[in-house]
This record gives sequence, structure tokens and C-alpha cells, in this order.
Amino acid sequence: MTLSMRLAAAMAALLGRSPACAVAPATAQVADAPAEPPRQSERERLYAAAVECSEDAIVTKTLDGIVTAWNPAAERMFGYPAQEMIGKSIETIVPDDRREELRGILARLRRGEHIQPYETVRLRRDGRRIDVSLSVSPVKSETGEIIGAAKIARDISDRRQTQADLVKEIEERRQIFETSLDLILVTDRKGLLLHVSPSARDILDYAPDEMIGRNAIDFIHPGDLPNTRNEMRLARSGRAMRNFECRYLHRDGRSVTLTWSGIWSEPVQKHFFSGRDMTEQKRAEAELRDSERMARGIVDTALDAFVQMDDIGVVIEWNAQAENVFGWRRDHAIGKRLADLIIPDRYRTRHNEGLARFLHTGKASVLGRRFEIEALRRDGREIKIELSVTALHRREGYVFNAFVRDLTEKIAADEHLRQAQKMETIGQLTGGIAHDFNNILTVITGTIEILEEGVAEDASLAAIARMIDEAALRGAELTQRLLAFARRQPLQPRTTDINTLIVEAAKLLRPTLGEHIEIEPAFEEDAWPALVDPSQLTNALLNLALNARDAMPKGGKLVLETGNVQLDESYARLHDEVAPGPYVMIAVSDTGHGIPAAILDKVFDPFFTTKGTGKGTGLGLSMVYGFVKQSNGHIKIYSEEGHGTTIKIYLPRAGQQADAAAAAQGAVALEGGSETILVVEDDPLVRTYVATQLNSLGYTTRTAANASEALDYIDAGKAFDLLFTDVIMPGSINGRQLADEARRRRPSLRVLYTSGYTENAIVHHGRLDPGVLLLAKPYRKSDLARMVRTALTQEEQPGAGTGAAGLARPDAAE
Amino acid sequence: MANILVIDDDPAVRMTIKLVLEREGHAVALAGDGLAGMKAIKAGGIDLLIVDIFMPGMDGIETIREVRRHRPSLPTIVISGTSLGGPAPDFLAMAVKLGAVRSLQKPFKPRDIIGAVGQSLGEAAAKSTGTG
Repeated sequence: MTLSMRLAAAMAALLGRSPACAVAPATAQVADAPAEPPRQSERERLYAAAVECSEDAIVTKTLDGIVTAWNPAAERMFGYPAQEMIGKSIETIVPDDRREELRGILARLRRGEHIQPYETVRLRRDGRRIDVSLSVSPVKSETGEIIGAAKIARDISDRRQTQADLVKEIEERRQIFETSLDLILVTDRKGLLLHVSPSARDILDYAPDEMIGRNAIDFIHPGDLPNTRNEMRLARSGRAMRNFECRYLHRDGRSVTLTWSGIWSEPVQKHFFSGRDMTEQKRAEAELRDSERMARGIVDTALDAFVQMDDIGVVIEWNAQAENVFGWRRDHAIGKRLADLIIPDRYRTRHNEGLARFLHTGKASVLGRRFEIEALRRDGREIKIELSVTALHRREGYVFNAFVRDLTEKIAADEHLRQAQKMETIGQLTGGIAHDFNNILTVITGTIEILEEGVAEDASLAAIARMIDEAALRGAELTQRLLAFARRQPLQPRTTDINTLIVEAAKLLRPTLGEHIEIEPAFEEDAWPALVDPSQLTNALLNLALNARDAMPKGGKLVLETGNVQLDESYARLHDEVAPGPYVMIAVSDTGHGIPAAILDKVFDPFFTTKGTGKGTGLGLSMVYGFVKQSNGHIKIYSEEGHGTTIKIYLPRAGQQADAAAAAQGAVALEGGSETILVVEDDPLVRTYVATQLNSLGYTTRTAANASEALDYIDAGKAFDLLFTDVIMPGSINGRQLADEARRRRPSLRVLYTSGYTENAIVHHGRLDPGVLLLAKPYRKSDLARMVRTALTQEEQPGAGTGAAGLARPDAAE
Repeated sequence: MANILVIDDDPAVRMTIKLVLEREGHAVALAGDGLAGMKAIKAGGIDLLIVDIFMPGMDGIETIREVRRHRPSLPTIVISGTSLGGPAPDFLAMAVKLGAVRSLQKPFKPRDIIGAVGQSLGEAAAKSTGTG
């Protein structure tokens, strides 16, 4: 039996009896089924149940198209009950436009053909057309004759709808995908890009096609790879959708920060990512941060102090400059009442009242302008400040922003400038006076000799004439000092070794200062050479030392200090006349009575003196001042009453050229030796200094304070290679005589003279024979080294009084 | 001896120099400023000029320039009450560059001016015998 036959039989059985299927009541009937005996096999009953329960409409019909069976699904699908349809033409459910189709089907069935499932349209009882999928098979009799057809119809209207819905949904999703501003990526589990939204073009400047087929890691900022991998792993392990940031690389190389949400789909084994370009937002955030940072930076780096106060007077901001100006640290100041921190007692009430008035009336006299006022530092000192305060209304009330400038330095600088201008004016005035005064003196000095001759016979008148002459000479000296102050005296600056000069000056000072004043040198060993007129500097130092002496009538200590200093821009700003740069500093300090602060700024004025009448001209310090200024230097005075005074002179370091020469000499020509040198020098300070210098050149030194000590040393038979002696020495034997005596005992002895007098003066005044070796003071270490070497390596030196010439002459100390 | 012209705005200084030089046997003429001095020089007969630098009107520097034009070989000694070194220009040195043969700073002793005059005249004489 064929399927169709079995089906037809089953249907007949089914429709005739109560079905096994509970779904549908046994409403279907088969009209001509009683032709068959009611004997049914078990299998047929099963088929019948299947038909009864089927969701598909199962219908049998004759070859003429008369319905012979109509199952419950057919009733539901087409709306006709079985009893109504059985016996009717199948055309009932065929729309007019499908009649031809039906005829064709019936014809094919007669020929025994099976109609494979095809889709067509049928009519429901309510007139609605429904989409159905039909398959039709011929039903044959026991004899094989085709007696009818079994038709299975499936309502596909729902499927169609679903399909259409799907298409529509896909289209919608595609539109979302196509138009998304976010970057949508679909990858496999390894990150291989399967779909890329067109937004890639805008976000990364890549066409989707350029990305698809490549791995996403090709486009991810290397720094974000580990995190991205981790996120993918987490997604696959079933974690809910997470947001994370990951930078992608734009075609031009810059990174684009995207905030991603990603999910793993287990059914399709794919990652779905949607990334939002956060760059703009980031930029906006960064700009906000920048602007906040800038505001912060402006406040932090302001040269003025910035103080912010709330409307109850409590400090809420306090920048670094405020720390400097007031001495309170930020963490200490914030939260404190401003009045307690920096407002002097006498202003506090006014401050509090002003604040209260402003909050009450919105008016304040201090707002929106600049004014000067005193403020209190942490150390209790009052300083003058320039203050500007503005009020800012904020949601939470008012804040007051104050910028504060510490005027201390400015006041000092102004004062300094005034002082300098005063000195300049006085200088000009003094110069003018000196000029006229010199004319007056010329008349006296020019004529006094005539007068002297006239009164030569009268001893008392001659004495008066001499007195007048001397007075005129003193007047001339005074004008010279005035001129020095007025910077009209020509200077002869040259590269000068300050230490040597001070040692020499100290030697001159010793007798003047007396026993009760101790000279203490404190030298910078590698003091730079200064560019200065040495004789004027010596004068200046003498002046300072004399002042020091007068300040220490009961004795004390005179400290002579040297040092190298770099005066920087900030120092120069405070002192108008100072150019920043390297300076050699000389400090002369005493332990005397000091100078009262009130008159400290007047001490450089001419004719100002603290000494009693007749004790000084008052020109000493002003002369020093004028000289230092003229030397492009700088002078400062520090004094404390009862403790002493320090005057610091800053002289410009000798120029680079001179330096280079000195350095070259130092490096190349600063030749030392290991010989033994006997140094004869009466001044202990000079003696020690020279010995130190010679030692530093490698020489061994022996010292003697005078000629007789030196001769004792020689007579003791002690060995040495060179006698180094000052020409002028106190005592019965001078340097030259010492050398003569020494040579008498050791004819081959080499001698090097030194003197504060110039070579010309010494030689021309017959104190030395021409050609002898003389080292003129002040000398630099390099001069000393060279002359010592020359003296030690000479073929032969002139014997005492032989006057042999042709020897190396010392160079000028310049 | 020599005919010497002294130009100085200070009459006491003029008189002093005149006194000193006349005692040495020189004939001394006086002028109070550059203009008057130039008149005397143009009139002729001057062997040596002593001129102050700072004078109202025609000052010493200008006077020396003028003298160089009319009497280039006139020995000139320049005097001044200020030596003007340091940052200010050194007018004494400037005057010497302009042709003054000697410079003297006031105040000076009689022997200084007498010496300067003597040496300048001597050199001038040597020069003129050398060239003549």
C-alpha cells in the first residue's frame, strides 16, 4: 500500500471514529467511508491519529475535485467545518485566479504524478487569502487505479510574516550598523575582524574593507593590547557586557580613545564590540583640566603672593609666594582667619568691620584698587605690601582674591637709587668745587715762593710763608680726594692679585694700627684676579683700616677677607649700578663700636664723619666709594652697634682675555721646583704668605725676619739654593747689603729681590745694580713662579757690586 | 727771552703765571678767553701759549684747534684744574693729541710751569733750527 492509500484509509478510519488524539474533537467525517468494512488494522489507526493531530491541513478529494476528507487542521486553516466541505468542490477554497492551477493539478494527478510542495494562495471562508504550501499525491485503489488525491496544505502566512519581519529587522539592523557613529566591530574569538561599521572611516580613516580580514590587534594601541585581550577573555567566560577604554590607531598614527562595550555570543561564536569615540569628550575634559591647571599654575607661579579668603574671613587659598612673603606654610594658613595671620593688631578691627559692611551693603572701600599697607610676617616683622583685592560671587557666597606684592625689596631698591643719585649729584658738585679750588691753590702755590724769597731774611715771616705753602699743599691733597670721590681721578686699572696686594697693604698698616689691633687674614686661596688700580685700592684699604682702627680704641681684630662671588641678576636688580657677573670680594671687618643703623646710609656721603672734630675729614669712606664706583665695582656696608662693621668691596674679575692668559700661564708656565729658598721678610703676614705660595709651587722654604737672622742661618752652614729678600728692610742691613754679605760667604748664591718700589725707582736711585733680578710688588703667583725659576736656572748672577748686565729683567706685574 | 700768551678765565691764575714767568725774564701777555687769545695770536709775536681748558665761551680745546690752523708750530701748554680721568673724557690728554706739547694739572709749583715752558721753548728752537 502506498503512503497515500494508507493515508486515505487512515483518514477514513480516523474520521469515522473517535480519534486517539485529544486535541480535536471528532468533528471530521468521511462521507463515503462506510463503503469499507469497519475493520482497521492497528497501523491504520495510528495514521488516523496522526492525521487528526496534524497541524497541517490534510484533505482528500476525488479526481473531480470533490472533497472526501477534511481534518481539523483544515477546518482551522480554511474556516470551513468538515461536514460543510465534504462533498463540496475543492474549488471552494481556490481563488478565481488560481482555478487554472487547480485544473492543472487535477490533470497531473490523473496521470499519477506527485505534486511536490509548492507555494500558492487559498481562500478562507472569511474571504481572506492565505499563503499555503501544498503537496498533493494521487490516491490509488487496491487495483492501482487512481481514484482521488490527498493534499497536505501548510499555512505559511506566518512564516512569510516571520520572514518579512526578519528581512525588515535585518534591514533595520543594517541601517544601525551602517549609520552608527560608534565603531561596531564583529570578530571571531581570536579578534579577526568579520564586520566593521562604515564609521571606521570617520573614526580611524580606514574603509571597512581595509580592516575586515585583519586582526583587530593591528589597529589597537600596543599599550592597550593586554587589557583588550583580558576584556575579550572575560566576555567569553560569560561576564556581562562591560565598558572599557581602548585606544585605536588612526591611519595618521595618532591614537583615538574609544570607550567599548563588548559581548561574546556563544551561539555564533563571535565578539560584538561597539566603541564610542571619546576623543572629543576627552579633549573637552582635558581642556577643562588644563584650564583648571592653568589657573592653578598662574596662582602658583605668580610672582605676587595670592591669598583667597571666604566671606567669614578664613583663608582658603595660599600660594607659594604667600608662603615666602608671610612665612606661613600653606597647610598652616588654610583654615585660619586671615586677620590672625597677617593683619597687624591695629588694622584687625577695621578689617572685620569692613568685611561685615561688605556682606551687608555690598560696598567696600578696599576692593578693586591697589594700595599700600603694612602686613605682619610670621616672624612678627611688619612689611610694607602692595595689596589688591577683588570680590568674586560664588554659589556658596563670596570669595575674596588678594594679590600681594612685598615692597621691601622695591623700597630698598628705591632707596638705593635715591642714594646713588644723591652720590652722583654730590659727586658733580664736588668735582666743580675741586676745579675752582685748584685755581685758588694755583695762585697760592704759584706765588708763595716769591713771597718766601722776599722774606727769607726774617725767620718768623719765612716760617709763615712755609706754613702757607704747606697749607696749600694740604689743600691740594684735599682736592685730590674730592676729585677721587667725584670720579674725576684717572685710574690705571690692571689685573691685580688681591691677596698679594692686601698682604702688602697690611704691612703698611701694621705700624699705624698699633700693637693692640690684630690683623687676621682670611683669604680665598684661588682668589680671581681683579681689574683695579692697585695703588688706589691700597689707598682705599688704608682708609678702611684707619676707620676700623678708630672704631676700636681699646683694640680688637681687623679681619681682611677675600673671596670670589658671582653677583646674579636678582642682586643686580636690587642695586642699580651693579652689573651681574663675577666679582672679587674684599671684606674689611672690625670688632669696634659699629655704626648706628640710622646713619648707616650716610657714611658714604662726603664730609660725613662719626669722628670728633679734627679727627677726620669725613672724606675717607666717600673716597673709597668713589673709587670703587669708578672701578665698576660695588660697595656694601654692614654694621651692628656694639659688634663691629664690615665693609665689602666687590671688584670686577679681570677680563676673560687676562684670565685666559693667566690660566695659560697657570697651566703651562707655572713651573715650580723642589729647591730650598730662604725668605727674608720683616712682616710676619707677608712672610707667611710668600712661604705658602712658594710651598705650593713645591719649594722648601726657610724664613728669616731680618738680615741678621738670615746671616745666622747662613753661618750655621745650612743648605739653600736661593735668597729671596725685600730690598728695603728695617734694621742696620738692607736687602742689598744682606745679599752682598751672603755672597761673600757663598759666592755662587743666587738672589732674587722683591720690592714695593718700582724697578725704575730702585735701580735709578742706586739701591740696586742694573740687571739684578727684581720682582716688583704686587705680583701674581705666576710672576713669582717665573722669577724664582729664572733666578734658580741662571747661568751666572752678577756678583756683589760687579754690575754684570744682560740678565732677564722682570716683566711688569701686568 | 720769549713772548708768552696766557689764556685763563681766572684773573688770579693769569696773574700768578704772569708773575712767575716774568721773574724768569719772559714777556707775558694775558687773555681771559679763547676769542681774546686768538686775537693776540693773530696779531703775531707770540712764541708760546699757555691755555686753560675750561673757560666760558671759546674753551681751551676749541682754542687749540684754532691755533693749530693759524700757527701750527706754536708750542702750547695746556693747564686744567681737573684731570678728568675715569669715565669722563681726559681733556688734558685730548689737548695733547690736538697738538699741545705739555699738560699741567693745577695746582702747580712755579718750577713745574717754568720747567714746562723752558722745555717747550727748547724743543721748538731745536725743531726750527733742524728744519731751518
